[in-house]
Amino acid sequence: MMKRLAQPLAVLAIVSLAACAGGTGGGSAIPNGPPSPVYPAGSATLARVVGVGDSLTAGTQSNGTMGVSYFGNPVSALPGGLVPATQTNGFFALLQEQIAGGTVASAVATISAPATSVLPLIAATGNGGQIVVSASAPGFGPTQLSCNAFNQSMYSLAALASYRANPTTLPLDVGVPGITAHEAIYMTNPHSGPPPGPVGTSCPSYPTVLGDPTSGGLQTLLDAEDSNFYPILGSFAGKLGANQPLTMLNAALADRPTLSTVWLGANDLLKFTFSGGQAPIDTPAQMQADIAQIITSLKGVGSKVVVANLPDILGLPQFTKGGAVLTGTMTAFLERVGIPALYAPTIAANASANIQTKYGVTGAGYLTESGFLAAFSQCITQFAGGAGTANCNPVLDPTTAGSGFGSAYLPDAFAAQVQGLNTAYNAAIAAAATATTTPLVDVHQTFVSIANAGGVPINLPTCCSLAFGGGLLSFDGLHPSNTGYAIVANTFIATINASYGTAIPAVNAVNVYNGAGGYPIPDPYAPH
Amino acid sequence: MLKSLARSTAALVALAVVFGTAAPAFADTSEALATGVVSGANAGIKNAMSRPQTGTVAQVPPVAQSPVGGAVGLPTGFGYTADFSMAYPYGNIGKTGKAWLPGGVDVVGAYGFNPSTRVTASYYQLQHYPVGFNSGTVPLYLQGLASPLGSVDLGTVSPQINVTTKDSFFLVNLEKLINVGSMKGRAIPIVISPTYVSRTSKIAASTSNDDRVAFENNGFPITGVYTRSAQIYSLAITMPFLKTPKMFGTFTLAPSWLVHKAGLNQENNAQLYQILYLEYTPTKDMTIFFEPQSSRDYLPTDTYAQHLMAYFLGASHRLGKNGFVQLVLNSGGPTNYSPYGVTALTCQALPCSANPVVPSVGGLKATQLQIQFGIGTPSVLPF
Repeated sequence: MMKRLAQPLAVLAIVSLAACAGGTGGGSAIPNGPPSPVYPAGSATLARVVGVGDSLTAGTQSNGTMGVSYFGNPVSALPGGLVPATQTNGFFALLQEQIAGGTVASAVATISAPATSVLPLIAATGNGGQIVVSASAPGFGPTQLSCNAFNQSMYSLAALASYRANPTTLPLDVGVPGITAHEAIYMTNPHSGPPPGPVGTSCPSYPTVLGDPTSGGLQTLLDAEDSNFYPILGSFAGKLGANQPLTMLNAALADRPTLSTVWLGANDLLKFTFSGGQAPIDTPAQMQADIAQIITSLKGVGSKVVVANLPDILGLPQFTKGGAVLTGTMTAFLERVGIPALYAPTIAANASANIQTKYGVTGAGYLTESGFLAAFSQCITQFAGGAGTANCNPVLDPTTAGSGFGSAYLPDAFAAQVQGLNTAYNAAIAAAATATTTPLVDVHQTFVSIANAGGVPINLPTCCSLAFGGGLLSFDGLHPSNTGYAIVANTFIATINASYGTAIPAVNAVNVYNGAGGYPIPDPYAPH
Repeated sequence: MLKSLARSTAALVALAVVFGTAAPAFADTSEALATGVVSGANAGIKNAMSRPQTGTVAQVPPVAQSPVGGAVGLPTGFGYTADFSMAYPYGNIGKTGKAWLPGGVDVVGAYGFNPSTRVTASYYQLQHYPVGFNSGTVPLYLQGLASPLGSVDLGTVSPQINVTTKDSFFLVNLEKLINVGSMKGRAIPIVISPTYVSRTSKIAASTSNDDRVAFENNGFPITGVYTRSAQIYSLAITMPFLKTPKMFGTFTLAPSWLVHKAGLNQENNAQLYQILYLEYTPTKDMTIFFEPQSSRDYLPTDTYAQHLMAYFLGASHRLGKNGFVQLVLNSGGPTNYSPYGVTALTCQALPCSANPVVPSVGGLKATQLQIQFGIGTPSVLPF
């Protein structure tokens, strides 16, 4: 199973997912924490708002996490080769900007500047391989290899100053991309790494040690949180209590929060999915216990808490449903790259039928983004090679039979397991919220409402929807776009205001989309 | 004759300090009390109870090992002893299976001011190998993850966790014998023994050549704790309940306090050690004894005190004028920590085969057979 993860596309998917997601004991007071913006109304609840979570709290987008924008990347088709920052677009950054009050421009400037930011700003060129619209060819490409020397340096705590723009700041956002709920309490160091360096234009997988199933694929699966652990939490090292290991929870407790947002569980779900059910993740009961422990610990140091649940991940554009949906999506993509409309529907239909036959993906199964792109590219190649319009027969197992299970395709039965676990996790999070009398931020319902409505009327008919390229998700199909994060932030804000009597103003999602009203650039992941 | 008896008794008491219990199953502080306090007190009580009452006739026919005069309580004057011992555990050690534990050395010095007051200082080593460290299948975790990566057969995992343990005790106590009454013309003595015990240890798996070994507690690896080192104060009271020409029994209650919190200890309440001692003396050269114990002990690896049960079953035989040999079977373990031994392994980084693996440990239980050879001044039996 782990060998399946060696497939480059699978790795890309895993990294992007792990990048998506976000300790024990009482926190010790740390005197030199970052300045926390104070809401003009002077609410004590909002004095120090701390984010506990994964990549969704960290502000990961498009398979990368970065705190500063930079120009000159040869891959990016944005003006000047711009690669936009991601962390300052996340829901937590937007929440802090709204709490800070004043003008949007000043709030954005404060949270973007290393000297004043409450975010753990990762320096350029960022963690991971941020996917951008490619300048040199149609489609998308990563700005860098996620195994380059800069990313490899992030496994070293000693090199913190080289990859953190504000290395001495003790951030209020402690969300670590890739981390699971249990890891948020107990992960004390990167599990492994650095990974092998680039070979040509690709990143090789971790080598497999003969006879040791904990090598190779498992290391690859866990790589995202490993590479992000020190960039996010490294500045807390040596500044926690004597008996407090360096964990996300301990870092959060040390921040002395007055209000904490807790949003975890996505990576448990995604790792289960992409490993074909093999990843060692929380059971729903353990998820409930872990979330409850985190909440209880935060409340133990005087923090108010809100906890968020999970969207249905199979409804995100990372996953393309099989059967007719796959046929339709594939047809559109084929036509977009120039396959004549005379042939595209037939090619797509045949591909969908073959995938159904070989991999058990019907209308109830899914392809991952990696699987879809693999099938898409093979159909183009087969068409160009003269295989005929009726003979697109994608191979989604990169090596042995079944090696693409989970990473490239989700057969119907497995997709049902994923959805079942998704539902069970949300029940567990809700149970933990109830048991600890904690307000639940119903992100799940937000996404359900958007899906049922066919999107959000930001700029009709162009934007925005949950479809790939629909404007609410970034190019990795898992992490929200700027606009998507704005909607998520407003879900949090609504719950906080309703539960704790605060009056945080909602984020203006239209301005975020347009790059207006003080937001520096139009949403690079949304169609305009 | 009287002089010989007095010397014998003194040496007996001194040796009892050393050999009284040998390597206990779970080398805890109660065994130190049993060795260093109970056996000394027993000697004094036995002597006092064996003393004929004035104007009366001895209640029982004298036998070879029973004093008929002279020693009326604790041995007086200076006494010392030394010995070496070896033990064989009832548990596999490493890939080679069963193996002898490393030998131990014991040294004792005592001085009795008078039959009711004596001080003793002793140093002795106890050896054991807890069961469950090299057998069974346990889950393998990665640090920070809730679900196991798989399972591991402790019998085949390499390298194995070698927890061959040698505890070293330093003990100082003052013994005060008091007659609290008489029954049927025989004195009823008790011995009160304020005692200080310091235990250090060496565990084979330690990379620092002491008892610092990594273990997991509450989900986190713990690396800097001296896992067995502890110091206690104790106030032992030993009282007789049986005395016949061939049988003798006492019961000891010993309220004990940790000198300070150590390791993971969260509390430091007084613990009550209870030690029953029963011996049978079939010949003048042989003693057979049985000694069950109940104690509450703090190990630095435990947040709260462990409830320990142990027993010692042994036989001693005199060898010539100054020597003896003793064979002791002892076994014990905690009642509130289970299962015994390693319950899980957690690797700190991947791949597990190339990175530190830390055990989660349940209760520590051990059983071993110990053989002791000793000499003293003069020759005595340990009990």
